[in-house]
Amino acid sequence: MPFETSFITVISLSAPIVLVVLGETINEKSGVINLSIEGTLLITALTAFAISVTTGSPFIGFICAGLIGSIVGLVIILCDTKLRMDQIAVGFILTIFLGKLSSFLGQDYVRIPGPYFQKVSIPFLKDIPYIGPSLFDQNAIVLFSFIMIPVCWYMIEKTRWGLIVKAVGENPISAENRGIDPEKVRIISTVIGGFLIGLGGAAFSLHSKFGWSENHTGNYGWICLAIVIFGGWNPIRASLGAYFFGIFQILALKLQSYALGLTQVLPLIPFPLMILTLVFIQRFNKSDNVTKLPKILNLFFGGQEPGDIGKPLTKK
Amino acid sequence: MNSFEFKNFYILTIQVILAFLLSSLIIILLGASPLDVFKNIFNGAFGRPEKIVKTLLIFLPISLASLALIITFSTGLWNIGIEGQIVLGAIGATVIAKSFLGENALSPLYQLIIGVSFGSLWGLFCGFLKVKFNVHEIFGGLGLYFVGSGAIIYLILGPWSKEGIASTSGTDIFNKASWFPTFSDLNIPALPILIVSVILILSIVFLGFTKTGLKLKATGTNPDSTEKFQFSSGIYIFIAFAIAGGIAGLAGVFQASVFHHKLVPSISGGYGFLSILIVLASGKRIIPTMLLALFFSAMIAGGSQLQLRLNLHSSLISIILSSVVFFWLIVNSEVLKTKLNKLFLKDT
Amino acid sequence: MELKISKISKQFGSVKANKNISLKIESKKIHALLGENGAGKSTLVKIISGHYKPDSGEIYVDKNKLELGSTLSSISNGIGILSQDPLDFQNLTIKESFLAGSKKFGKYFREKNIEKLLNESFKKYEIKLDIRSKIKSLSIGERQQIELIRLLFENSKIIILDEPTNGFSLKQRELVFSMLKKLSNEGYIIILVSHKLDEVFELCKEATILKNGSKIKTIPIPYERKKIVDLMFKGDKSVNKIKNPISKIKKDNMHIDLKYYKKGIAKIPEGKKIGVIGLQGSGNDQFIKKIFDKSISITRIVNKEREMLEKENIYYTPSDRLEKGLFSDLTLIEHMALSDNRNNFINWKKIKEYSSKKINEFNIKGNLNSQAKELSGGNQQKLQLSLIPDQKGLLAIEQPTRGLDLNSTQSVWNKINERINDDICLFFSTTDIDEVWDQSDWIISFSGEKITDISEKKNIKKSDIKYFISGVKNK
Repeated sequence: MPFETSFITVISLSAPIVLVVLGETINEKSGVINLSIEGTLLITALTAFAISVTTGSPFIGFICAGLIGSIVGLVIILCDTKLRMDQIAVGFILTIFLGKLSSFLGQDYVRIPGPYFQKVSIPFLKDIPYIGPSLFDQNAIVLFSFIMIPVCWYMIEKTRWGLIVKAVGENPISAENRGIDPEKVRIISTVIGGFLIGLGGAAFSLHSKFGWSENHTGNYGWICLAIVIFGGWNPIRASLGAYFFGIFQILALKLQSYALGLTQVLPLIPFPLMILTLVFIQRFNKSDNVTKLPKILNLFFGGQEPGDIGKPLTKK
Repeated sequence: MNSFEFKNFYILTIQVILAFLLSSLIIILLGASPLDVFKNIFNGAFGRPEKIVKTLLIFLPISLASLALIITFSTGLWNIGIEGQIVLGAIGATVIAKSFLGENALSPLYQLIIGVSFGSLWGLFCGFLKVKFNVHEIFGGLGLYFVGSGAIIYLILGPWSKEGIASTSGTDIFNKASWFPTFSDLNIPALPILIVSVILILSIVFLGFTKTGLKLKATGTNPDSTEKFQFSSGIYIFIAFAIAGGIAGLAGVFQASVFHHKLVPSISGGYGFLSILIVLASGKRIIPTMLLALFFSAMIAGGSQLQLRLNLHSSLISIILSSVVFFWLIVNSEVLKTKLNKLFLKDT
Repeated sequence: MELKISKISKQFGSVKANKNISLKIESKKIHALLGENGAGKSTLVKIISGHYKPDSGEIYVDKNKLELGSTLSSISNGIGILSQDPLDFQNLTIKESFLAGSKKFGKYFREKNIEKLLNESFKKYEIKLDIRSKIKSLSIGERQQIELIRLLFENSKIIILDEPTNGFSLKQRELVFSMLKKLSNEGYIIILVSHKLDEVFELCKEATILKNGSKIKTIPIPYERKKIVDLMFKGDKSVNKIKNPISKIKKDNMHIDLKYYKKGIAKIPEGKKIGVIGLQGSGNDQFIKKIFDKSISITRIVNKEREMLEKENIYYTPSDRLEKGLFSDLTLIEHMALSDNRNNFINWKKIKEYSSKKINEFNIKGNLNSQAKELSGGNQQKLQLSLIPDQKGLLAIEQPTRGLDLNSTQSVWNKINERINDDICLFFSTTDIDEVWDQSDWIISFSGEKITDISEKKNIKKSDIKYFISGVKNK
């Protein structure tokens, strides 16, 4: 069943991207842009792989990668709130720094074998067509990434904490007026978001693109930033965007023999889509233009940018 | 315009020394000897005349990209799409080199015209998305960059593939007529040097002595006040992107026709992103930017020696550069500055 | 229930914003805080809400002492503020805005309950809105109504309304007022901060009048309106009389088209100084901006023909000096270069000479390379004035002396007076009755968004103005 195989591959291959876009969505919901994803992914992918090789336990590597991701997030948010440095500038520098650092530190780990996550087969569930083999007969990372989608959605949309995060990302002054500490909220969200991004990095080197090589996750970080926007800051749509991207990758592989160059070009599709999404978001949010565009587009390209995104907190 | 004060110089010196100490510390932490590293970098960059020429070949595109970024940063714009503008410039040069004009003696001239226009258009596109559709220039720029890299890969593997077999190692070498003329045995790229010098002077004049340049700066500091001064911030955002894109495109032309003599997938060499680091650290001032660009180029040129001589990975250079810039920005952040001032300069 | 404010003082720099204010406010009597701009009302409100920490004094809710300077303490003691601009979240839904940071719903975050509660209370207060709609789709009035209900949900027992009624429709105002009266009868403490006497009379039973940071007195409402106005505004003795040269030459009339304000064409001779007075937040600043935008068109006689005034002859300075009038990071000399219109190349030597001359002439404290943001407010204003070209034009100046000390005020006016005889005319907005009286030949008065009077100064008395701007008829 070639279609079912492709379906399973897409779900499995997209696991890291899903984790990253969920993490960055949480960051951006609270008003912080973590631009460093490209670098964070590289360093966390290396961390995960190196530690799991050294300790023999992929689980420890996975968690350590998450912690590194959190630390990167913490650096960005502290530079922003304590030193009033530009989030974008700090994120950008970290992108380059961490990316190159991974090349340097990873030299001994290039293309060596390492321990795998065990396959987790859940009886009965794994026999459900399509869903069973893609989720319940895979390693834990795939299942985890899939479970995180509803979890993040629930956290953001249905809990008190999620609402506070959204409120701070929207208007920190109003939030403060209601007794919320916006600085604390942003720090916590960036650390949690960073943790997920770090796990995403680990999911590359321990799962979808097993092992380590220089520039191992090349360009996926930038792609994730694009997918978050394409997802309209909604965890579910962002994850769909990640799967959508997985489809492009599979397609590119399959079509390789027919059309040369497609392999390299197709993965870049998210970028024009991101631009399109941003254009539509602005169009939809201008009240006078809403009527001119068909409603259906809003479903795919609409979305609400957090009102205070990327801005430093203003002191009273 | 700033008056040069002894106190500033004093602080600057301390910061530079600290930056060197920091890089030494990083080198030690990464398991190498700072002295060896610095010696090799210096020799690699300036040791022999050919090496100086190579450093120069790196300096040319980096200095151009940095000048382009000064213009957009002055206008308050994060032109992260500069990599894409470089790529488009290189594509523009290749369009000429691969056409019948590629054998014409005037090929370099045509390349300049097309490359600069391509880069400029790519910049303008980003500005258009920002002004007309309110798309943040970071995301517009990134998007356009990757569209550009998609295009370059497609072209290299498709229409412009090597004869016989398509490979990501690049196109065929350009016809000699499309190379920029050089002189002496060292192949000194006289024309590019001249062009960069002219652009440098024009930038100084433009930013320092014209009202258009001043209005760019004004737009960057506070677009809301432009109405009172009766000019439109949108137009100046276009101008900034058009000029910056054009200069970046020029860097792309040099990368293709002066450095590689062919189109390769990673044609920009990451110089656009490195230049962002340079301009962040230099605080948008032209002369410090050029000095830093020279420093960066020497580090990159010399860094390629490290692998050979000391068996150190070439990424060490970028690690040093980015951490020094990060350190520099932290030390110079307003908050820390005021705190340090309070600590040390109690009397003032 | 009662709110007791005891000996509150607060000083900002050299300005004493609140001087030893003591006040007792009881439930069942809606209380108004009255006073002109700068009387200290909003400082007092921000102290009660915990946004400012007073230098001295205490506040009690019944027997509980507030921890001053802590918004949390104020909120947990039941104090809720409805601020001028609704402090909510544009992109959240009404329901989400109710829940964000809510102390009450924190423990049980269950949907059905909350929706039911909200819908019930919306019904009770006759609000017909879907709680799932986004805040940004609502009018300001609706947003304020919802904020008010939110405060009740959060168990606020003391509700302070800080001039919230701008943007209310008549219907909404009626709804909100009847709601407030009901609440007051149920035992809530309600405080209304307002300029609008009509509102105060409709709603309140008591009012405290503040002037220059001090409490003048607490009066029962109703009260004689004229007396309230007399208590609110400063006496007639103008401390610093600034000389105002009056030109003797007879000049042609300008025609000022006021159809935006549903008025006809005002005819005022050229060369006059026209003061546009209104309380803070009234339409007076906007009037000046509209002249610059040419939404108010002005015609004048040139060579015996009536001509429309061109934009390049209108010299405008906004009241937000640093935000809208100057470039915060640019230096003095760069500003001078920008406003020089001759050609694109900048001759720094010439500009330097010119700038030094202007800095001297306008007595700006700062050097050529000071950035605009480094200057004090007074010097920023002088810089704005120094940027006005020497050529004849129409000056449209918002709040020429707001926030300036006496010396700066004097020198700003001296500078304007020096050139005005040669200019087309001057329009300036102000909230200060003394200033408008001392400086104007003609006075346009605003009460809220409406023009209540346009007169030549010699035809009115100074004491009339306060009635014009309060919307009270002096008959």
